[in-house]
Amino acid sequence: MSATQQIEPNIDHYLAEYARVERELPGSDDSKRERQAELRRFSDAGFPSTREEDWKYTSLRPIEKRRFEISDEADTPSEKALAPFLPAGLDAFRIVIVDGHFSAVLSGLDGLPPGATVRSFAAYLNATDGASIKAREIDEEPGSLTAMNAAFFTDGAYIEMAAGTVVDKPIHVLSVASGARDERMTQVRHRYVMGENSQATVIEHFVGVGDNPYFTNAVTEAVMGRNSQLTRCRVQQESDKGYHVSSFFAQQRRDSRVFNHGFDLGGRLARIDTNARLVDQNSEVHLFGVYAPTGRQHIDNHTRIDHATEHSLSREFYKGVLADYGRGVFNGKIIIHRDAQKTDSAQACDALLLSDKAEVDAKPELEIYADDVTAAHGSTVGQLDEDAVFYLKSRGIGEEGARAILTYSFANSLVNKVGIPALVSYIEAALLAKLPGGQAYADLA
Amino acid sequence: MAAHQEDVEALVAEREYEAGFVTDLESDTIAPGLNEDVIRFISGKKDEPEWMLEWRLEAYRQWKQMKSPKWPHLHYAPIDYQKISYFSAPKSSAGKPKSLDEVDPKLLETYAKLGIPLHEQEMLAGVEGASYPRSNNVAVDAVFDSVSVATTFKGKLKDAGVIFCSISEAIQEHPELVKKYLGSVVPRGDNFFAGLNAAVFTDGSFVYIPKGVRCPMELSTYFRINAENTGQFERTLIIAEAGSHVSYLEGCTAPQRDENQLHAAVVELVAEDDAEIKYSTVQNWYPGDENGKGGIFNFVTKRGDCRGARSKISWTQVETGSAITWKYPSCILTGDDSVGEFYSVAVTRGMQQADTGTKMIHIGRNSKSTIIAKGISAARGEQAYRGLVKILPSAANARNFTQCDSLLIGDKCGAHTFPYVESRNSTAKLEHEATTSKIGEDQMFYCLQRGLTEEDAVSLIVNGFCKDVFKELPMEFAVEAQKLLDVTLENAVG
Amino acid sequence: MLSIKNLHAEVDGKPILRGINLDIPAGEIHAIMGPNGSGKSTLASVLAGREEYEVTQGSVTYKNHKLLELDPNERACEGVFLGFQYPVEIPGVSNLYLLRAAINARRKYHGEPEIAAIDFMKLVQEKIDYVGMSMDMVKRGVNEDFSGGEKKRNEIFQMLMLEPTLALLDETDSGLDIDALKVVADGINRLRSPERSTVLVTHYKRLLEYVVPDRVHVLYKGQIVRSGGPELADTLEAEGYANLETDETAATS
Repeated sequence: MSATQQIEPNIDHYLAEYARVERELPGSDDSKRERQAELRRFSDAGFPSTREEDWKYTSLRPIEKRRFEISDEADTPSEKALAPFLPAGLDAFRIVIVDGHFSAVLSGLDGLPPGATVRSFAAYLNATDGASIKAREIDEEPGSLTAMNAAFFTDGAYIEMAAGTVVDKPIHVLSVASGARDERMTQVRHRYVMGENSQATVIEHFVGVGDNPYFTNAVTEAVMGRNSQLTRCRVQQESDKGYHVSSFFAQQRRDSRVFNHGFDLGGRLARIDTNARLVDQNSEVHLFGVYAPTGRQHIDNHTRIDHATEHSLSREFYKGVLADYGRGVFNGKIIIHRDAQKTDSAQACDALLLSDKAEVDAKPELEIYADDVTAAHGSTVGQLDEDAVFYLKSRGIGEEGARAILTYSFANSLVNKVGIPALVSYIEAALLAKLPGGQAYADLA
Repeated sequence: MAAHQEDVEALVAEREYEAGFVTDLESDTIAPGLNEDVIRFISGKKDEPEWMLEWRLEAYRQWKQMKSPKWPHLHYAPIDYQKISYFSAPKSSAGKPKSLDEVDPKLLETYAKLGIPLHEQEMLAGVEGASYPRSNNVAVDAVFDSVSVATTFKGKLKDAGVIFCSISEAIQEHPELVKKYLGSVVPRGDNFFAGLNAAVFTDGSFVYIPKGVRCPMELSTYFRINAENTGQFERTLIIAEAGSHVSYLEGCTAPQRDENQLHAAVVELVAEDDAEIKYSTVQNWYPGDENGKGGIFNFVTKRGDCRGARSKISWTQVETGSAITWKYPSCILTGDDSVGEFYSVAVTRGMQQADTGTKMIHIGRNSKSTIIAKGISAARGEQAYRGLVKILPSAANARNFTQCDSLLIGDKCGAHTFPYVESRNSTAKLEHEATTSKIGEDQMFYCLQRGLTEEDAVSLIVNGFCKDVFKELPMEFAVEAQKLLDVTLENAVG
Repeated sequence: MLSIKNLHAEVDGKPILRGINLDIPAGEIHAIMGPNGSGKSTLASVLAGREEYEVTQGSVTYKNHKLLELDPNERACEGVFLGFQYPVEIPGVSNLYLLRAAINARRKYHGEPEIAAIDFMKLVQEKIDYVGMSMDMVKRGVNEDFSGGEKKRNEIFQMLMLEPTLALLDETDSGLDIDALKVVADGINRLRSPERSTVLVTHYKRLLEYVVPDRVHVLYKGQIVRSGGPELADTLEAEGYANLETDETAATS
């Protein structure tokens, strides 16, 4: 950066914070140099502003005005504090990251099949010669916050599936913000490397337990080998003092499949970027998302699917349920590049407004440069069907219960798509707990 | 021979217009040109009362102040309205035949060529005691050039209290109804073509279904433009009183001529409380040759008013003909809980152009509308879907579902979509879906590889695409529409 | 069953197949493997009659027919089935409708009466159970809104319904999770019989763990450079296609 360039004081804070923690960050000297380059990219660009088209509806001022710090060590929460976040009956391998640091005590990785690696990202970086902080297979990770993550990240999950490995139990990647101290930031980075013909399901879970404001900035990279399949269930339940920003980048080789399910239930402010690049033929991505801002929550989902070559397929369905003063943003960009003939793509976004004060901006964005493609999009915004409410009431169900049934049935189909019964019940309960009339619904069943 | 893109295009391009014959009838045609005297002549020919003439003249005065619309996605040379003849009638009907036996046999031949079902021809020919083998009878009004020549099943309809006659007859016999409703849905000054029609309309159909009556049969009108240099300006008025129900079908053809011919029709529908009108059209006017020579200019205003609570108007159209189509069958959803529907298949091939769609104006509470539009473009056909969904502040809880799909055959055709949505009530729920796809080698080869012939494959793919609309057509018409589409898009050599 | 002699084919003037010789006796399953762009899919498409490939030399005999002289639909009616690498969507045309049209086209070709509706539905019920599809799914439009895996399952369902004598499966195993792969393999094994033959074009040895082929051929730069028993697939997996250059020179010399 040039000497005359004005640096905002909050950027100064992060430069100083980097200097403070650099020695403790995992990785070789080479990777420290990579981190410094990323730090420069972040400090040059600063936090994104609402003047940028991609951030038009989401202001990061609340994050920008605070001075978040890296936690030097984890404040391991009590089992009791964590218990509500462990889905009952979920049979899974588990890796737990607390305040950005791997917790061996809370993790359980016994019985992984041969060919499956699940470990701390920091440990992987420290132990592997030539390991890079960013996956080399991923073309680009745009955005200043991903640069901030690359500079600062302390740990995360590193998952690698050797060719032909099939893991039949899900891998639960739990990232916990203890909230034990004021203004801490959790910078986590996960990487999933899927070998040829491999298959795995990852539950990427973000939770917050304490009372202090904190900032989670997460990046997940998925390197999809030929004919591999990744199912990723991202469950975001930050505390109501938590600020959450996360990005997902999948780079997909021939015949690979990504099924991405997102559930955004928590956070004071959450912004999620989900990106898939279909760079090889017959690759396939499915993005499903449910977001439910209530109270004064603000939840912004941006997705981008790049169809870069012929014969690839994408399906995208997002549903928003908004109550109170909840604010939702959905922007689904699908780019069908010039060479991407025979692309098959469909997108739909629906939003249900449960209050006059709730607001949603839903925007499908299609850019099509190839001429022989199928691209469908649909979008709805609406309220509960009063006829249906009346119908249920006429069958003896109370007003509140009737509304709850209809509200939940709206989101239901996407919850069920997850396909893991214990997780479906868990998400259902979490969703009901925060939606108006949720208790009434639970009582009916 | 395997499926190649060019082959598919060739199949489509080679098809000839099957209804392109000219009937050699002596007709009574006035010289081209339009002025107040022409309007007086038309009115006089039809022996109209003074109020009707005045209505027409006022329309003409308004029309003279108007300009033809420029906004459609259409290209054509300006029309010289002084070069069109505004009245043509087959001579044999000039003396008002008392019985159908007096109808010129050539006319009956025409019906046969048009594919009007046999028993209806018998009725048109006035065969006494003709048996009706099907339970679902169809009453037919045939409008030949500008004059209604025959209406069948009058007696049976009369027993039910239904009035089904030509509008000329209605002006004579039921002036109170005509006065009350004519121009009440499409006012004289509504638009350029509607204004022209109001001034010079020569005939059309009139339907009145009294309170609580379910019309015992499908009503049908066949329109045909025969004479040279004539315009056809028919006017249709359908009134469904409270609790009544009617299904109305219209079919259109015209001979093959090098000059463009003008068709500017107006259709007005009124549905009172709980009434239901289903209006289906199979439009196969002559489309011109593959270089764009000749063909009908089809500028039509169709509008229904769902005045009553829980009333319903449903438009279904299969549009394969005309050089240019400008048409937006619309619903004004005035009544609470009223329902408007629009199902359309439009095909443009050769040099055909279509700018078509619908308007749904929601005024009543809980009013609902559904729009399903399927556009097929082949060869150098150009097509635009233009739809307006307007929710007024009074239309609490209004709903609309719109789906518009385009199918392209070849790479020289075009499809454009202009959906307009104006919502002024926050409780309204609106859904919109759109797709554009291409029938290509891939789909064709897939079907061939499963053993289907090329003709069957094209028919299968196109009919699949149109399924949502065809299932809305009355049975007989659905078969006809499917056949029409097959011959439109297939090589006639099967 | 199928005999290919010195088959050359090109697309847009670019040679893809450069002298294929291959005999597939009745009752056998042959796998064709090879690196990207070697001509595997082209071979399947040429045999099914896709027109953008121009055959410049050679002949193909299928049963007693000169295969290349038949239209694609005639080949289908003679029992040739292509499982598509990219099955297309045909919106509004139900899977059942297409299948019935296909079965009847075949019957008409052989001078037989159309299949009775009840027999057809019985057949459908039986076969969907094999492939784990629901009646609801087969009533939907052909491949409409199907995921990649569902499309491939549907190809196998169609194959079971049409009972071809020669099945050409072009990467039907690509893009499948392990459960769907087993369904595909099961479908292929079900049709295994002395009067039928199958050609599996595949990228991945994984399929051959579930369907054991009689012969494995390696296609490289438009020629078959090596043939062997099922063990050849293991060798390829271990060594990759690196040694093929030498094989190629051996084959052409």
